[in-house]
Amino acid sequence: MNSYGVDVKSLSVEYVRGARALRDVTLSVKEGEFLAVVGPSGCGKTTLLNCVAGLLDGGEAKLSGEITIGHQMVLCDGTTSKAREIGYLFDDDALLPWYDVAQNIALPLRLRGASPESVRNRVAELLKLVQLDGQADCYPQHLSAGMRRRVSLVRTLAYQPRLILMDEPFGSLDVQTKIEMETEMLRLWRSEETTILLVTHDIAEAVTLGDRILVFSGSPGSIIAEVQVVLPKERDPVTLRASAEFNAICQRLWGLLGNAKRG
Amino acid sequence: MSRKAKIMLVRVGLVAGLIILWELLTGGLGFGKRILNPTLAGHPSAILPDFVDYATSGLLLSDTRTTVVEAFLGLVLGLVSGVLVGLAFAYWRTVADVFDPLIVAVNSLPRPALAPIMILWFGLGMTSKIVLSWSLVFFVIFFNTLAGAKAVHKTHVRALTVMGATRGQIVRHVVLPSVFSWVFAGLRASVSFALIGAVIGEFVGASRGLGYRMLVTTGTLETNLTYGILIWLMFIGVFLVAVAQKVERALLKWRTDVTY
Repeated sequence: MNSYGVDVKSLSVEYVRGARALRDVTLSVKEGEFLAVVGPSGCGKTTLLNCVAGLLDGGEAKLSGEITIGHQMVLCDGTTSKAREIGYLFDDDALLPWYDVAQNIALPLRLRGASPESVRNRVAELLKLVQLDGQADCYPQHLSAGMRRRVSLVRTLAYQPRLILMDEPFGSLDVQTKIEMETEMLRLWRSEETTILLVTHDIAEAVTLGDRILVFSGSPGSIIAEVQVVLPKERDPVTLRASAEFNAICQRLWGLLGNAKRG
Repeated sequence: MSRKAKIMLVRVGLVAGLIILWELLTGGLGFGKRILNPTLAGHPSAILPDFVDYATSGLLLSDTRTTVVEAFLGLVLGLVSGVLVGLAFAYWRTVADVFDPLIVAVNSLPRPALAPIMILWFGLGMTSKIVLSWSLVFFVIFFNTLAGAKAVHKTHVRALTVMGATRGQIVRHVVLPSVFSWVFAGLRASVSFALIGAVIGEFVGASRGLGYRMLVTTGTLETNLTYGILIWLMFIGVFLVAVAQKVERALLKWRTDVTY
C-alpha cells in the first residue's frame, strides 16, 4: 500500500495561554481513505491537523495521547517528531511570493535533493495536470485565487505524500471556483491513492469529498458523531449537489451540528 | 501638446526663469544694478567656467573619487553589518532584550554630532568619513532586517517544516528572501545617507573630497565654485539613487506591488 493510515488515541491539547483545544479525541483514518472532520470554528480542527503534522511544540501547548502515522508513533506525551511523507494544505495557499510557480512546485523536491533534471520533468508534469503550463514563470501574486490553490495543491502532490492534511483548503474561494477545485481534488485523489484528512466547517464540501465524516463539538473539541457517506467514489460535485442522497446527508449533519451548539 | 510635454516645458521654464532672475539680481545680463551681493550670491554664468577650471586642474576627479569611495565603503559596511546584527537580534531574544533600548538611544543621536569625535579617533583621512557613513547606513539596514525577519509568514515556515525542510533550508528559502526584500527596499535611503555621512565628515575635518572643497571655496569666497560643486553633488546623488533603484527592481522583480 502506498498510503499511510492514521491512528489518534485519546489526544488532548491544552494551549499554554488559552483554553483547552481538544479533549480526548480518538479517531482513525484507514489507508487510502478520505476522512472529513466538520465542526464549528474554534473547535480545535486545525489543532488536530497541527498535531498530526507535528507542528505543535511543547512550549506552545500541553499534549497528551498518541498519534501513529503509518506504523510510526509521532506523538507521545508531548514529544513530536516530523514525518516527511506528509502533505499539508493550509487555509492560505502558503506559496512563497519570491518564487515563481515552477520554483514553488519544485521547492519540496529540491529540499529532498532531487536532481535538477528530474525536478524539471516532475514540475512540467504537475503543471500540465492542473492546466497551468502557461503560468510556470508567473509569480503567485499575479495569479487568481483559484490558480494559486491549484499551484499549492500540486506542490503538495509533487513529493507524493502518503498522507495529506487539509485545513479548509478552499475556504476563501467563491462557490464556482470551489466546485472546480473539488472536482480537481477528487480526480487527483483517485489517481494518487493517498490518505486524506480534511477539516472544514463547510458541510457540503465534507459530503462532496469525504468517504466518512466525523462531527466535532465546540471547544474543547471532541467527536460527537460519525457519518458514513454512502455515495459512489466516482462523484461529480456539480450533479451531486442536486441529488437527494447528498442533501439527506447534509441535512443530517446540520442537525448534528445544531445539537452540538446547543449542547 | 501632451500633458507630459507641458509639464516638462513648465519645469524647464521655471528653472531657466529662476537662473535668469538670479543672474539679473547680481547685475548680470547688462542689468548693471546689483541687488544681491555677487561675492555671496555668485553669478550663475560664472559657475560653469569656474567648474571647468576646477575639473581641468584634476581636483574634481580626485575629490569626487574620495567622496564616492567613502560613501560606497560606508554603504557596503553598513549593509553587511546591518544585516548580520539584525539577524542576530531576530534570533537571540536575549541579545535583543539587552540591546534594544541602547540601539534606539544611539539611533536617536543626531549623527553629525558624532563627526568631531570620529575625526579625533580616526584622523583626517577617509576612515573617519567611512565610519560616519556607516553609522548612518547601519541603522537603516538594521531596522529593515529586523522588520524583514519579523515579517516572516508563520504559514511559510510551517509549510516548509511539513515538507521536511531543515532549519538551514527554512532560513535560506523563507527567512533570507523576506529579510532581503526589506533590506533592498531600504537601499535607496541608505545610498543617500552614505553620501550625507561622507560630506558631513569632510566638513568637519579633511584634506580632500567634495565636502572639504566646498568648505575651502566658501572660505576663499569662490562662491561660484561652491555652487558648482553643490550641483555636482546633486548629480552624483541622483545617479547613485538611480543605480540603487535599478538594483532594487532587478532583485525584487517579484514584488511588483511595490510602487514608488
